[in-house]
Amino acid sequence: MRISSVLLASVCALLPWNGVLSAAALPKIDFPSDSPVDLLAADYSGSNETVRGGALLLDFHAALSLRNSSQRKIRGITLLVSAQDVTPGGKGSVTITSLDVGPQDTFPVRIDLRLLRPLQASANVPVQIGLDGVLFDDLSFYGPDKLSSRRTMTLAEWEARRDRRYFKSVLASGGPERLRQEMLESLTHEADRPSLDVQVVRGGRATNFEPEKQVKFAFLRMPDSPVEPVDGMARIAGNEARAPRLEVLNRSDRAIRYLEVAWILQDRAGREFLAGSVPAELNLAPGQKSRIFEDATLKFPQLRAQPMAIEGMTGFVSSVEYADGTLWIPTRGDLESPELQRVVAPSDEEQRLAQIYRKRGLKALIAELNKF
Amino acid sequence: MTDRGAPSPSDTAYLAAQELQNRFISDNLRRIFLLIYRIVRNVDDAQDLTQEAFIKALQRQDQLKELDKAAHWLSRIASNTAIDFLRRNGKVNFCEIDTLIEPLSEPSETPEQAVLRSEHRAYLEEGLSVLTERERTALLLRDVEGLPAELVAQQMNCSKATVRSHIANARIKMKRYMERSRRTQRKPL
Amino acid sequence: MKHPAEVQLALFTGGDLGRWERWRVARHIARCAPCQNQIQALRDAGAELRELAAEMPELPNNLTWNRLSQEITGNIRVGLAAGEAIALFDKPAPSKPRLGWHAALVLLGATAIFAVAFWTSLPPQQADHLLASLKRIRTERIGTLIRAVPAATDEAMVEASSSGIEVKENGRTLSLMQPHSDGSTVSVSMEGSAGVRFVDADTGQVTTNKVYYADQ
Repeated sequence: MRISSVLLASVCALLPWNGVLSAAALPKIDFPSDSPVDLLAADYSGSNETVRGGALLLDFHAALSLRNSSQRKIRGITLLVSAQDVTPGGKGSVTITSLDVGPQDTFPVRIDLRLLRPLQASANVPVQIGLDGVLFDDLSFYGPDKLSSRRTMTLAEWEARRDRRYFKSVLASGGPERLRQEMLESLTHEADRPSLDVQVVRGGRATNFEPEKQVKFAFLRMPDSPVEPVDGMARIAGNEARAPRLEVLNRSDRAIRYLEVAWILQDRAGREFLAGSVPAELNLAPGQKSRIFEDATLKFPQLRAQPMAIEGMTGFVSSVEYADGTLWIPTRGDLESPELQRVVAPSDEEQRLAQIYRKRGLKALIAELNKF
Repeated sequence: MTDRGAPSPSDTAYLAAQELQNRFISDNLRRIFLLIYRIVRNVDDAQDLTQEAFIKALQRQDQLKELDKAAHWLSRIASNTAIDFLRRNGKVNFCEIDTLIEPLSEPSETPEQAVLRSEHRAYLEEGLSVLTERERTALLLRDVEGLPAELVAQQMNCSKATVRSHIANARIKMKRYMERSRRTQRKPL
Repeated sequence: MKHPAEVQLALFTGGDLGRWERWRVARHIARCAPCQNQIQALRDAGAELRELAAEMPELPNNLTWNRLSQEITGNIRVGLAAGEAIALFDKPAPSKPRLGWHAALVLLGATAIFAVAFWTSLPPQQADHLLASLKRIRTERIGTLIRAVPAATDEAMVEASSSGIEVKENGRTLSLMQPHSDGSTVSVSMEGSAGVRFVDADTGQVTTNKVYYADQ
């Protein structure tokens, strides 16, 4: 595959008390020649590089203009963002879902990045931007898929269709007033969910000395889920949850190759948070059981200036991928349990629709729903 | 794709009402925000109070007698909201009269302010900041909103004489500020 | 010739003198240049004031009026809808004032006035729920990035917060920031990734930024 690199001219803003972005700091953007998206323009204004302490801080902003050069509609795109010389193991990605980009249409992508590296910077370009995947309307996919973006975007597309169907049915049966009420509920739920600052530390090293206790998972079961969580536990110490272990059963009649279990933490004050997810790639035959565990630790620094003490955990299956590539996601009915409502975020599409309602009103929302 | 079918009469009426509401908001938003901002001088507070004022007005639509008076009626609600806010939070007594004696020294200036002074806007903002809250409120209501002095007195819940005092002092202070600035050649071209 | 007091001139400029006084001052300034200059200076100040009052002030945090007006309009819409939702719970009572604006007033939290009678007629969870939600919507602002210098550490770490996500490795960091905070969702995966999902206020797109750590 011939790789052609595209380096476009940039417009760098001159900020009075910061350094200008040097030509050497421009990113390298690589899209393969058969890529279904073309890079039309890139604007890096606002980017700059400054010395902070003993390090070099690159503050990078890119407004990219991409065009769909394929014959199909694009529903999702994931760009891979890396800084090989700075964080060789660390990468970033920018994913946009719920897109509706027809052939030859253009759309914008924003990337805002910061790199902190030692003063003796290498001469190489610090930032590389590549394409990890593009998802089309017919669920076909293009790209190297190094970040599992195919699965992520396909899941998002399934959720989007589920939720659009739902809102359209609300509109059809209850009229605009009912739709508006649903939107209001969605917005208030969104505002309600506590946000959490979290660290994931690889290697599962303990960083506090609080007494550790084994805590068993409780499970929220969904009747139509193909995977049943059987057993699970993690070691809890203060505000850390270490090495969660789960046992799951495939109770469907198809082989499963991936699943994700999300877990909800309860703290001592009785508050609940969606803490994280345990993904597992595995080969699970029908009727088979399997164990999955992670060698990692979740740390919760603080929540509203109060240290968090974890008291209990609840898990539920949030997605399943069968061996043939089809997916299972919870239905809206499944997600309507009060405990999940409090904690689980709305899908990408629901959030997008709620923002359309909030910013442009009900008519705009109805027009958007009627587009699909 | 399922078709919704023809909209029912209640749907159409509902959407039409929403449209009217949206128009009312978009036609008046900037003006009302500026009015409130000039009184409370803080963007975050002005945002909250603007929201509050519109919600109050739209909830009380049935109290609006004549449609052509809608803009003024909204302005009244907005300035009331702002003044109430100042009363509750700033412990401002709107009915005490300030003296015309100004501080002997100029308030000290930060480097940012020095840079901003080259902008026309900031220069005038500084002028307004020389006024007390009640002087500024009275001046804004009288000279910018164009409310007659009686109505300004009503809004601020003071006597007409007090309000005239505020207005006179405010106008004088603004004039003095401009003269002083011109003398020290701070006014931009 | 006795000049009018400065206060009188100030009132005259705006047409705030009584008829008799207005006439006296007008007669004086017709023949008094210094007082005419004063009046002119006062008029100029008035014109400048009106000019200034029509201008948008400098908005904080790179906010534009476009964005701010969208946010305000959205919150008004939600506030109205919420007020009506609460009104549904109220039993109709002709003597009581319309619940609508009371609810919105209280819920916006900008005032400390609580209509006690109102609260007791509402299911408490519903009232608290909406109150908290609207407060949250009200206080959502454009995110500003506040960077703390990362501690030098050998372990690799991935961190997610509502202002950004980052992966740290050997004292270096790669961070992805949210340009505008419009209600973001933070997610973490135990395989070593952290993500933030938000709706980009400029493009309306749902964007998910993720950072990963994978051993080389």
